[in-house]
Amino acid sequence: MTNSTSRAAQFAAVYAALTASHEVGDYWSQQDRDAVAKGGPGLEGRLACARHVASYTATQAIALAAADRGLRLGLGWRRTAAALAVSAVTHYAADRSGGRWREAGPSTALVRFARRTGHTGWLERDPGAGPLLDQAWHRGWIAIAAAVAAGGGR
Amino acid sequence: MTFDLLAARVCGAAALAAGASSIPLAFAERWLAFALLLWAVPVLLFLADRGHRIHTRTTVAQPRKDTPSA
Repeated sequence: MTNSTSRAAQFAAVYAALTASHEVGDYWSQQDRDAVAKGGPGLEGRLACARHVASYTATQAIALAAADRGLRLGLGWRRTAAALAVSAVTHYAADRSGGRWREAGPSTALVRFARRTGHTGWLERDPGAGPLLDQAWHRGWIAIAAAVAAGGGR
Repeated sequence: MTFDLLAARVCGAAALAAGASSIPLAFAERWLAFALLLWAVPVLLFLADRGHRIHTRTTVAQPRKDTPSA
């Protein structure tokens, strides 16, 4: 097997592990009180979001460790940590917008970004638009995180 | 300790400090400051790696003084 094939296999396996654990971490691991409060203003909202991101990242770390061991992926710990950090920070950035996607006026950076990129009409028409944009954001960053974990020399 | 190794360790410590300092910025949602600080982490890690490599190369390349010359 060539190095490039190995990296492609690593990327695919890491992406699958991160995506599966994303679903578990974002729904099953999340406490209801954090889900309600994570988009709220001030320290309380930030702490709720940080608690959710902590349990989410722990779920992803367990999944990555299991995939690495079970499939003998040979992931380096530095790249794995960087991948988890990418996933965690971008997850926090998105989830601070929880429940605020339809806000008019000043809002979170991600909601402003969605409005600037032409999604205002969709966000106002469709109550499901915000959560869909949120999940699309997560999956995009999971792909980048998988590339971070699988990249680099062996 | 050579200058290269010292520089590598300083860069490594600075990268660690930059990474750690970026966490409260993300928590406070100060994304521009966070991005600017985080950008320094891979740059500093790269410089630290370069320093280590140069140190290793120069250390290995130097002949041992106790080796008899031919």
